[in-house]
Amino acid sequence: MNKLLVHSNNTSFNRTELFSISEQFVFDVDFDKDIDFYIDDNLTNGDLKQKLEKIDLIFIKVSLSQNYLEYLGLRLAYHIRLTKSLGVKSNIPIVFIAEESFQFLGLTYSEPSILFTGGIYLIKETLEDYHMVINWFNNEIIKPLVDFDSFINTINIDPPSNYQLPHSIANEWALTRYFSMLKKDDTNEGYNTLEKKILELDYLKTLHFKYVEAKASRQRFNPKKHAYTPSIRGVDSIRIGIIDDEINKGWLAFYQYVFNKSQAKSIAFNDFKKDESRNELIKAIQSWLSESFQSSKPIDIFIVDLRLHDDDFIEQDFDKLSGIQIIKFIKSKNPGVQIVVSTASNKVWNFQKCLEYGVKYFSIKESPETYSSRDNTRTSLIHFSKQITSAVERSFLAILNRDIQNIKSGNIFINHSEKNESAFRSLTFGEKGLLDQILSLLILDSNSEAIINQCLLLSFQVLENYCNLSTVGVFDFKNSSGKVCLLENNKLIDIFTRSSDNRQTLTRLRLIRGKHEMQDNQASETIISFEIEDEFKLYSSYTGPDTSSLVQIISALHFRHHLPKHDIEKIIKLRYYRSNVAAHFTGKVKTEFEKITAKEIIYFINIFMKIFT
Amino acid sequence: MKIAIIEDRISRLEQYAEFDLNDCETVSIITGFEFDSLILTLSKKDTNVLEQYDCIASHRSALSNEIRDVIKEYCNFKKKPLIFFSGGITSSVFKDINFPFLHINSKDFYSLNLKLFINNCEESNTVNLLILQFGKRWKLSLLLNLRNNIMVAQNKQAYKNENPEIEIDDRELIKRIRDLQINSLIKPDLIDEKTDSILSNNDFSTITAEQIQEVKSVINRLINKML
Repeated sequence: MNKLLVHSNNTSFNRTELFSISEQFVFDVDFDKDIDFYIDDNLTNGDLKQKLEKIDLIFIKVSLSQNYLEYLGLRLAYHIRLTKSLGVKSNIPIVFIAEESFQFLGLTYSEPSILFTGGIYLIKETLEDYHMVINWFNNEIIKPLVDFDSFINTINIDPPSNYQLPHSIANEWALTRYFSMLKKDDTNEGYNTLEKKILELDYLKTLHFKYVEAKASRQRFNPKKHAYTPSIRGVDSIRIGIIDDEINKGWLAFYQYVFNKSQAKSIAFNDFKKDESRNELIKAIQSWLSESFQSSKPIDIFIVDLRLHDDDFIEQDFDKLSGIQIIKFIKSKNPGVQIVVSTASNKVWNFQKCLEYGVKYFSIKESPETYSSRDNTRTSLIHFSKQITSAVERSFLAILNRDIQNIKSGNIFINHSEKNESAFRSLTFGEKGLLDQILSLLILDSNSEAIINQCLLLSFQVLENYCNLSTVGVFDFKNSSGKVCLLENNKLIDIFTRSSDNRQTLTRLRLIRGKHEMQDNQASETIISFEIEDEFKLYSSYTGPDTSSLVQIISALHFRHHLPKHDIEKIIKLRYYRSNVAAHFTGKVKTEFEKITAKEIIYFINIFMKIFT
Repeated sequence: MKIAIIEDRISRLEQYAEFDLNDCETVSIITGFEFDSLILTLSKKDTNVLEQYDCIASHRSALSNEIRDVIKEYCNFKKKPLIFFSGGITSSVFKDINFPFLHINSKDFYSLNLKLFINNCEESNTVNLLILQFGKRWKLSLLLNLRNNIMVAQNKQAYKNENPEIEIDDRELIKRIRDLQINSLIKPDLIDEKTDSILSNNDFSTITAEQIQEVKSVINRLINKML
């Protein structure tokens, strides 16, 4: 039988008749290390590991330090049971040596449950007890731990105090767990950096980590079934901002690896100072954000942790959480910016509050408390990818907001005082005006057909109101010659005529009838395009919908703003859709016709950019 | 009696402390500007500023390895009690070889044990880190140590008695009162009508096996009483 005695020179068993020198390990805590790190180092790389590999039975003094009540022998035993790299040796029979009874140890140690699990024995430090154990072992009465499931369900290890909150544990737990799910990619520099960062995590050496990992790892990892590296669609060259106080603990490396794999780039706020107050931290982040918003390449997607400062862990008022204050700041600067809240919290009321502040996406960091299966972790990673993908898809709203703000602040009507223009300006560019309404609706839901239809109506309202301004276009239907007027230098001129070589030249517009692809077979022809001709021919006999308004639009966009013909044709087409689907469901549009999307609304805002600024 | 608490994360103190440390006159909390100034001074290996304190407690993560070494060397030289506390410390460990040195978790450090510890410092004018580590049970640890040490020596004595040819260093056996290595903090508790005559003797007085057993019986009784 091969045996080992672990002691701290506080036993009478350390004589060579009982245990040879090679059968002894003197436990001597290195005070430059945490006790868990000292034990882990010895069990994973040190002398103790080598000795353990050769033995069938281990004797451990319950006390392995100057201070008996520290009971470091019990802590060592937990490590032996929970250190994965020991393999089957972790189940070795453990004989504790103590003057105290099971009951006494149970009453005086905070985590005594290991004493009441399989493969654990307790003897007094007497020769009789020693020989009894040897005899029992030789007669196979002493057995190793057989039922690991029962063991793991019996014990309970509390986290160290800086991991008291699920948030703190989840940060390191989730990172380690997610990394373990990635497909091996050791030719990738980012993957290797991430692995290095994870191996540096102190938490991995703690008993608590080993405990939760053992609980969760009972579901075996099947690379074919479980391995998953998040792949995020449509993020090529997208920049994603990271605001998370855990970035230096490996999260930045994780985001960088995952995003780089998808050709995106992560940019992190990286100026967390330990001694600064929460307000100072918030100001520093706001300043960093302001720089981004004012730059030529603003970031339109952020991953934000809700708790960025120690004070947040004792904060009762959700609105005062640093992450929430940052979210409010971002949304106040640009409500279209997309935020993914990355949190360990799974409290419903937290999500409700975030939703109120305009957050649509959440990535919940897996917590050891849930003891997730491999399938759960895979689902969690897939969910993370989907949330980022969705946020990226909606990041057009940030650009849209910037465009709308530019139109509002730099439009041609700013200094106009004429009554109708002033009314148009207020209705379109004012606070909660038509452009703001379009943005608000899209922020509310950019996928809803009803909302897109409403945005289309609002867009045409803007365009038609504009074209109907006396300074932009007036169409005299009765005279059929019509005229669309421009105000240039406060002088009214007819845009159907233009001066050239001191000669008045008539510009002629012909409306072309036909059928849009979207039209139902039964639907009658409508105006689908236009041509500029030598002779003006207006289809005065045409009784279709709002011809005068359409001619105003075509005239203003073509003659005044020189928009390309295909743009105007698209507007004609959308106008048909507006009239037959969005405003009134006439049945003239084929049901299989692809519905319009937010892209068409973006198209309108771009047109507005061209004509209003 | 003055105790220094060096803490860069004052919010941690507020988060964990179960009582108002500002009410403790013996405690100086070194934070903010004072903290920066202390670090600057210590980085020049100037430890004079620590002279005024009888015990130094510091947030371990607040200090660089170099500054930690400066403080450790200073405490070693002055035999001054030192406490390093940190949220990442998984289990408290106390060593009293060259100087009293305690590693303790931040939450445990800022617990009510700290109040007991400070009160004891103020009342007795001595620093007993065991109170900080174990609170009201601090004597139990000393008693268990003592019982273990006596048991080990007894076993060695028994082995020597059975094997006279075996050489065992006298320092491993209990021949005199002083060999019991009774911590002075618990010695008064060990005295009853039977042990009084033993323990009140001169430290160099010899002690018999029966007398050792007598002392051990008192220890056992005290240990059982503390449960």
